Amino acid sequence: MTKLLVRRALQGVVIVWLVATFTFFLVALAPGDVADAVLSGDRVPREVRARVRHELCLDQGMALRYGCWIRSVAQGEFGYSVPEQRPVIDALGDAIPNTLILMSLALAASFLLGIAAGLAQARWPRSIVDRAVGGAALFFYSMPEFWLALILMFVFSYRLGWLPLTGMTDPVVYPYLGFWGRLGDRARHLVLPVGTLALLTSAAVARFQRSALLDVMTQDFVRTARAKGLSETAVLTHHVLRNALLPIITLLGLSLPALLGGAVLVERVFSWPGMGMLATTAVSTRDYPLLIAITIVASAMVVVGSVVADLLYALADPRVRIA
Amino acid sequence: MRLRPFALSLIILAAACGIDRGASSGENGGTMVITISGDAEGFLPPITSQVPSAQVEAQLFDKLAEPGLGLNTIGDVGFEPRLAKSWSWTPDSLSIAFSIDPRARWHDGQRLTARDVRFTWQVYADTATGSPTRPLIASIDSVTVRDSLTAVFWFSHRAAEQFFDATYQMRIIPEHRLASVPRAELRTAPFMRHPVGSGPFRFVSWRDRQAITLEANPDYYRGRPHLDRVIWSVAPDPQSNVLRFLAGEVDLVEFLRPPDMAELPKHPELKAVPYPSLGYYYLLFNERDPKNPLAPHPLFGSRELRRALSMALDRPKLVKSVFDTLASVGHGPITKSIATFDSTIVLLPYAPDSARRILDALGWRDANGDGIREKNGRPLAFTLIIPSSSLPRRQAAQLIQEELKQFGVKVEIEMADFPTTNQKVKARLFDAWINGLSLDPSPGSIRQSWSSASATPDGSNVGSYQSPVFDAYVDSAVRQMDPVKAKAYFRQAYVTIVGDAPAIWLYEPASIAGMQRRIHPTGMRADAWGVNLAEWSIPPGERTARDRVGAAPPAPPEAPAAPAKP
Repeated sequence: MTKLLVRRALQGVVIVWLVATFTFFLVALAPGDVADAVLSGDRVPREVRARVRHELCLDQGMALRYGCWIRSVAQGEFGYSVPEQRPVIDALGDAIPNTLILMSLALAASFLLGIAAGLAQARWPRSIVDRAVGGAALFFYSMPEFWLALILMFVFSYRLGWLPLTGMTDPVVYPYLGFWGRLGDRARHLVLPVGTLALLTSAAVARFQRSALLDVMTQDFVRTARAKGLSETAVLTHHVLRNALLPIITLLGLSLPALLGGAVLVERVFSWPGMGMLATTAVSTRDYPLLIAITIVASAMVVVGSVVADLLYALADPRVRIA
Repeated sequence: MRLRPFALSLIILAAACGIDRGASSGENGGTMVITISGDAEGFLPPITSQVPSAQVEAQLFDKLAEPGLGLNTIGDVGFEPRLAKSWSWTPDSLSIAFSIDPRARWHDGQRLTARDVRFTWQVYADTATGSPTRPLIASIDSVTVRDSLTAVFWFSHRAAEQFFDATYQMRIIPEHRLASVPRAELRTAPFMRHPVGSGPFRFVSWRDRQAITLEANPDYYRGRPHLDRVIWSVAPDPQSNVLRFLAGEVDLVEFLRPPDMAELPKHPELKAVPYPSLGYYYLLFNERDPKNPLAPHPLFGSRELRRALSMALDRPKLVKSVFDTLASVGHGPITKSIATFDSTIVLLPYAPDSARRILDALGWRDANGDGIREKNGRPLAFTLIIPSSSLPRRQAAQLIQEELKQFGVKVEIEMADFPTTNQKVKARLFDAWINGLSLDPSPGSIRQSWSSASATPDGSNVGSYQSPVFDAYVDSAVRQMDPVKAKAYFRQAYVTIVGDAPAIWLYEPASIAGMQRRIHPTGMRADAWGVNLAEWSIPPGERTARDRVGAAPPAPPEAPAAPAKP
């Protein structure tokens, strides 16, 4: 197991470095830079723009720029963000926890919802329940995340007034609340962004889960369980579900990139101050050091998610461990 | 009718009852939440350049004086005292002595003195600071301290806007807080995130990409602001921004677009508040050949062709189609809010027959019957570049394309994101460009975009318009100390440039803020709508539970004093 972990960790480092390098050259080739995007007004003197370009090595050739960037990574700062007026690492430090909260809750909610939906479909296959849940899953699966976000906002916040539209907390009330009040306020602000991401991801989980459950239900041990007189619900939850969870563990690792991608737009729409919101701002302001750092963190999260999925798979299935 | 969010009401009630913060009563009280699309970059006026920072800094740091609503920038006519309670000029106009209001205090309680004024100028003028404002105060030779409450500005030469330069361009910053920070390190100083100012509101908190909160400064030398708190809440998505305003989550949105205006009648608690604008939009012709910058543009090097295209475009119809009534037709490189604006200047008219005749006379004719005019084998076609993020500009470009097609002119629209467009334009790799400018209040700032001196490869006159006549009129205008004479020279400059048609002056959008009806604004100025925010109010009878969150209940009336015993 340790060997597997070390091997995957080394692979992960190489993958992250390749992704970061690819991103660096991609954004370096894109037109415009942060001095143009942020300091473009007539008022800003040319020497200020020139100085910013020099400090960020933007006036150098591609190889030297890459060297500058590697040096800043080695120093642990990942460069300086001009629009944020602080080291990239500080901006990331503020954003990462917010994205982790959003993603972990969305991941948990999406798998709970997806597994429950898959169970319902497998319990009554080819029934009206199966068709309705499958149709709903397909509906959400095919919907763009920003569109779903706007619809949920429109219905639950604008029309019904049940939930706040944007942000992590209420800017007026939050500072004056006690512990439980603050917790409640944060929870209310989490519902819509988490719900959006969860609905999108749970659709895929439900489809996988249904298929896996139906496969397992034809196995001999399931017939034996039924022959012992167990109820259909007991058979499904105690015998079938446990054996049908392996594909879902694989999906856990695969869901992270999709969730991260979805979080970019969802964070922007809900003004959730995480990495996604930071990334969209970084693109529009050509804040390349910040954009590359976000890519590194995102790819690292995907790699870690993939390793965790492998570990869970190995724990769940002894055959994998032996192999 | 929308259901009231019960849980939120409970939270607000709990918060409103629980805390006692400062003296808020009678005329004073209430919280205003402003939605902004971007976060601040910090709060140190010599360093920052973005709008969110500038809006907050305007409440934290005062200037020596403010222009009035008329935005006169010549001499000191119309300027209102702020940190300087008065000022006096020397007879040769080469120095101005500002008397600092002795009541002025920094938010940490320290007295604000003339040393702070001198320090401020030193920071702005130091190249190590890298202030974007430094070129704008180049006429100031030095600042000296006559006594603790008198700062004297010395100028290298007489200039019409020297008072404006001394007062408008700089916000006074505290020496005792910043003197120990090396100038090159100011942008990373802790002060950037925890500012101490002298303005009507003081800093409370800044949560990254969430909210910036200021509270009323009860010791403000001009009197406590009426509002208890002002909060800037960040929402980068334009749709969400408008929705949160319509839903009552925020109290003010700086700009309403035409589709948003259509929603307002459904919300009686909201209102639209127009205020003056400094923005105008124009279709700029590149007068230099993109392939050979030393040669004139094969099309737009011709003044007559530019004039013909201007006359071919029905601008009132275009503005009506894109904005309905929420914009007016452009008046040249100026807006109605600039002090030197002159409504009597006659612009090139919409004259389709004249336009066709001029094009024919110039030799542009459709010889092969393909609907496009040609001359010496070259079709009358050009590319119009626009930033894809601007919906009005996209719509305007399409209408221009359609309209000019009827005149045998082929327009290809090229869209790109803002930085890409910007880079192409700066490299002069374009034929025509729809641009928007937000003017500086100074009429002299017209030189940045249109003077021959700015038509250098790295200058801001990217269309390379060059007219010695225009330059001479502007140079004469900015040297005039008399506002009336200056306005006359500027008029001649405007007439010259409008006649030369280096651009088609498209539209001047109306600035319309969306507000909760309970907000009572005052004195919204074109360059800074919140310049008089300290005087905005929410009357007691119109305050909501949110307005009372964190505020102390009104103090009970004092018991009448016991009658003195005889």
